[in-house]
Amino acid sequence: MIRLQGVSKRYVQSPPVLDRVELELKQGDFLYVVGDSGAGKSSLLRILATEEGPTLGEVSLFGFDLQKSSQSRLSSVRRQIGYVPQNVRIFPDLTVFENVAVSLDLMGRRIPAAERESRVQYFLERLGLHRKRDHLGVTLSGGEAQRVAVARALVRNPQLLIADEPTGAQDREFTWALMEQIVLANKNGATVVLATHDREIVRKVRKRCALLEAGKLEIEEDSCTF
Amino acid sequence: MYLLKVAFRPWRRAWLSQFLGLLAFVFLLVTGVFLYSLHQGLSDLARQIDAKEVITVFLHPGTTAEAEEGLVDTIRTQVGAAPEIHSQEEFLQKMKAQDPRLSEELTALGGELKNLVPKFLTFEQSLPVAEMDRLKQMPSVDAVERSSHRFTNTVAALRAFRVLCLVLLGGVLTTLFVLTFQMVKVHQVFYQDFVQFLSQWGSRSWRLKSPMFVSVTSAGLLCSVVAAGIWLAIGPHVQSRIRNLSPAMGEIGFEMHSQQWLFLFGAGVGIAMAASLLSRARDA
Repeated sequence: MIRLQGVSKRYVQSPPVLDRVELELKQGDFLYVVGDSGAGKSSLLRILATEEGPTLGEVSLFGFDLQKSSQSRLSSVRRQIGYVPQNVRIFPDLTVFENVAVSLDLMGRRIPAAERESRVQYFLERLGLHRKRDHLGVTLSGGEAQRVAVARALVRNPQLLIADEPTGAQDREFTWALMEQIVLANKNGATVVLATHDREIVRKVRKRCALLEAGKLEIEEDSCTF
Repeated sequence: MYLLKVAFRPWRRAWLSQFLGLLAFVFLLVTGVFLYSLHQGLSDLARQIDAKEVITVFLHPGTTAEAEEGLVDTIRTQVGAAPEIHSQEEFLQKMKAQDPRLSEELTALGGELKNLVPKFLTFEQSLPVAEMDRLKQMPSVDAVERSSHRFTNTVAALRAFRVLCLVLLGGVLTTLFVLTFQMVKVHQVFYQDFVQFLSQWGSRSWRLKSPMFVSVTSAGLLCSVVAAGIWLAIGPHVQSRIRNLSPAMGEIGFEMHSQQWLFLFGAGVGIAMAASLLSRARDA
């Protein structure tokens, strides 16, 4: 499913953010990526989401080596990923509904209007956005925008969900509402890679943990010492 | 629907820049259709003048009026032309206007005048050599002449002017393309987040260009409609001004024909489509 071999990432004139990272995840795995700010969590997730490539090493998703994949193969891989970036990008001139539905329209196959409506509505209700359904993106608070971004990622039932601090701007109520949906997606077969700072989440929703420190990734199989 | 909302971002965020850009687009389109119409009109005019040939049939001095009429009938039926008879008096009148001294000398000849001043017929027709020979064999015919190449210089001048129009038209279309291409580049900044999102979520490359394509092509269509309206309004006025420039331009036409419509919408929409498709979606 996910295989990283000797992946390093270095930005211009700086020490490597990721240093020979090895990682292997199977379908249905759930992995927290934890570490201090600047440890390289977002860089790792951006590489997994195919947003950027590594400086060195090999990245394989769904059995395809990304460096050797054509643009069309890369597009088909991306259609199976739901990605919540740290800096959420919602469209200010689209409504909340449209902001979520747009990801369904990019799945490469036609989804009937009724199914589209019900799938979007389901996540809007679960994440407390249904009252803002017709509000423009520009009117949303940071927390609401973050929930829209998560709903957008989950609504397409991705095989791989990559979320970079998806609860960072939420109060407790919505943190658990978000986590509930993410765990549900995992139970339905999605592989989840979630970067977080939130120790409570890691303690309550116990999963495998990967600690990033000075660019090195260390998998903690049994418990998360974070 | 959301694609349209995103596509029209430039109008919401920078309407003045859009407006000025489209104003220049319309101006160039109107200039383009003017040059195209002029080019077409000059082509038609040059063709007409080039095809205009006057045949002059000189008659024997002693040809009677009956013989003249018989010859006119023969030419009408066998050649299919409508000849005009020019009498000696008419010839002298024209001569008097052009060269009064020569006219006076001819009049002073008295009875000898009949042998010197010819009677002749003229008609406009382009005839092959065989037909010319047949005319020469007809009774009462002394000689036949054709006015080929009479308008060579005029036709050459019109053709040179036509080439000039074509060069200018090329310049206008190039400027239009560059303007549209720059417009696409400016629009890319407005769609940067959307294009990045589409790309990240696995859109195919044609879809990445969709906001730009919709925005710029609709701008091209709008400009074509506005330019067509302006040209329909000012075309007749421009036509009369051009016709008044010279008698040679008297028959030039500036009416909107299917070719003009095709040019206008082809240039407006076609260039807009080409510019949006040629630019890379993720350049911004």
